[in-house]
Amino acid sequence: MRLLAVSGLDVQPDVAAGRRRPFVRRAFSSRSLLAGLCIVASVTTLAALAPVIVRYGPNQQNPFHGMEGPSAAHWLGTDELGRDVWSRVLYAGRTDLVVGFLAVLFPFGFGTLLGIAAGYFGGVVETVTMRLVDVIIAFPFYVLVVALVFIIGPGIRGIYIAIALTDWVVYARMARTQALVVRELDWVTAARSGGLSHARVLWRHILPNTISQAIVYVMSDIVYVLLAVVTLGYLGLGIQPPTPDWGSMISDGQSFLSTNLWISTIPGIPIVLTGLGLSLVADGLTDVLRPP
Amino acid sequence: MAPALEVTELAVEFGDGAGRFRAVDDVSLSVADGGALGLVGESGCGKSITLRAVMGLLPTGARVVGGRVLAGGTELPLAGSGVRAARRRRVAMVFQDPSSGLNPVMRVGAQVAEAPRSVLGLSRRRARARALELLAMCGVPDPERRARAYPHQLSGGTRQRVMIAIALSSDPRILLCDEPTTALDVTIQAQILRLLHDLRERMGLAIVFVTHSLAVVGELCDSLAVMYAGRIVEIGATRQVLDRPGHPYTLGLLRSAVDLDSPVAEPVSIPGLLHDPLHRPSGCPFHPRCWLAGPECSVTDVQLEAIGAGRRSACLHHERLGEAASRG
Repeated sequence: MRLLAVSGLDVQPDVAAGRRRPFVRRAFSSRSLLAGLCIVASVTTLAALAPVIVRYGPNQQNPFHGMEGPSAAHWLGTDELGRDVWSRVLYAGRTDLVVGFLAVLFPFGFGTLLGIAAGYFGGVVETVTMRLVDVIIAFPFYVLVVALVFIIGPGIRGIYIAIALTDWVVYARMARTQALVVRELDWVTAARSGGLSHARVLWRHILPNTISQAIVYVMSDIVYVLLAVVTLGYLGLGIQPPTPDWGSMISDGQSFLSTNLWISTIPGIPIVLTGLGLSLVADGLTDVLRPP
Repeated sequence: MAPALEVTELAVEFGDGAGRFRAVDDVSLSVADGGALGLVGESGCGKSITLRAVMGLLPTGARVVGGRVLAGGTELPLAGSGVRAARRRRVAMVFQDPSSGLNPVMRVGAQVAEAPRSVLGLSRRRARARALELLAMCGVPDPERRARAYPHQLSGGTRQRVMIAIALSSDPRILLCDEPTTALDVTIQAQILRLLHDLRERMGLAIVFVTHSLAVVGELCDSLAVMYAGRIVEIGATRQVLDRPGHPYTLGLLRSAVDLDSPVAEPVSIPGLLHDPLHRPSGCPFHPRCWLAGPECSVTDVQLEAIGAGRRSACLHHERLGEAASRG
C-alpha cells in the first residue's frame, strides 16, 4: 500500500518576502502618536526653556502689581504676590514633569520584572507577589499615596518613595497575566527544552513579548502620577513652596476664584495638555507596538 | 550498546480525586541510534503527553507516576530541578505549529544561535556561524538573509525548518517530533519529512515522531507504535505493521486513511468515539468500538503479547485479524 509519495519532489519553499515597515515609519503613520508626541514635546520644550523664555523669575514678587489680569508685561497676569503666572506655570512644569516621568520608572521596571517572574515560575514566587499586590491594590491609590507621603514627609523625596512603593503593583499584575499566556507558547517551551537558563528565557523570550503593554501603560501612568503630584501639591503635601508647582498654584489661587479666575485655571491647562498628549501617545503606541 | 532512547513503563496522570485519570499507562519504547519510531494514534490517546514526559515538559496538572527514561544508558530525571540540565545535548523537541514555535520579536538567526551561545558556550561569532550552518543544513534557502528575518516574514515550511534548526542547535542525539508536519501543506510536508530522513542518516539522530498520519510514519519510520487510550496496543516494524496489522485499531486507522493506490476504495471510519478518560471500559479499552470483540474482551485485562518476530499486540484475537482484513 502506497500511502504518500515523497520521492521526486524538490520544490523550494516559497518564502514570503512581506516585510514589515520599520518601527519609525509605522510610528509616523499613526496620527494619534504624532499628535500626542507634538503636544508632549511642546509642553516639555516650553518647560525646559523656561529660563530663556520668561522675563521674570518664578518667585520674583511685585507687591504693587498683584492680581493683575493678562497684559503685555505679564501675559497671563500676576498672582496675589505679584508673581508672573506665565513664568510660574513654566517653572512648575519643570518640576512636575520631571517628577512625573522619574517616579514611574521604578514601578515600571520593578513591577514588570517581578510580574513576569511570578507568571513564569508560579508557585511560591507567584503566591507571595500576588498576595502583596492584592493588599496594596485593596487601598485606593490616592489614599495610600497621601498617607505614605504624610508619613515619610512632604516633598519630592516623599512623592518618589510613595509612588515607588504603591505603583509597581499595576505593572506586576499586568506582566504576570501576559507571562502566563506567553510561557505556554511553543517557542518558550522550545527555548526551555533547548536547555536555556531561566534568566535567559525570561529576559530574551518572555520580557520582549510582554513589555509592550507595560510601555503603553507607562504613558497613562505618567498622567496618573502627575495628577497625584498635583493633588498632593494642592493638599500641601507635595512640592513645597516656594518652588512653583501646578497643584499648589491651583490651590493658592482658589480663594480668588470669583474675582481673579485665571490664577487657578491657567495652571490647569498644562495639566490637561500633558494628560491629553500622553493619552494620545499611549493610544498610538498600542497600534504601533501591536505584534504583527 | 544501549539504545539511544529507552522508555520503560512510563505512566502519567492528570487531575486529582475523582477527576484523576491516567493519560499514559505502561508505555515502553526503545529507539536505536539512527532509528526512527513513529507514535501513532488519534487525538487524546496520550502520544504528545508521552513525548512531553520524556522531554520533562509536562503541562501543569500532569505528573509522572511511574517509569524510567534512559538516553544512551543514562537515566533522565522526569521531574524536579535537574530535568532540563540532564537533557542538555541529549534530547530536543520539534513542535507542531510553526506559527507559535518561534519568538515573534527575535530574528530567527538569533534564535538559532541562542543555544550554541549559552548552552554550548561558543563565542558570539562562532555561535552565529553555527546558526548559519544549521539553517543551511536544515535546507533554509539563503540562510544569511533569512537569519536576519523575523518569523512572520517566513513561510510556514521555512519556519518549520528554522524550528528544526533550533532543536538541533543544542547538539541533541534524540529528536522528539510532535506532529511537525501536521500544520503544513502536503508538498512542504514531504520536504520536511525528507529533511528529517536526511538528518537521521547524516547525523545518526534517533527520532521519535508523533503523528496521527500512518502515511507519514510509512515514509520516515522504521518502527511503529500504535497508541490507544494511553496505552500502546501494537508495536513492530513499520512495514510489517502496515502490511499485516496485528490489532483491529491499527487496521481501523489504515482503513480510515485515503489510499493513493486504490482511490476508489472509500475511507472507512472507526465506529464510536474514544471513551471519556474518567470512565475507562473494563478489559480491553477498545472493545466497545471493535468489530472483533467477544464477551471475553470486556473482562480480560489485555497486555502486549509477542505475535511474531519483534512484534507485539494487545489484542486477544489478533490471529483472526488476517482473515478479517482480507475479507474486508
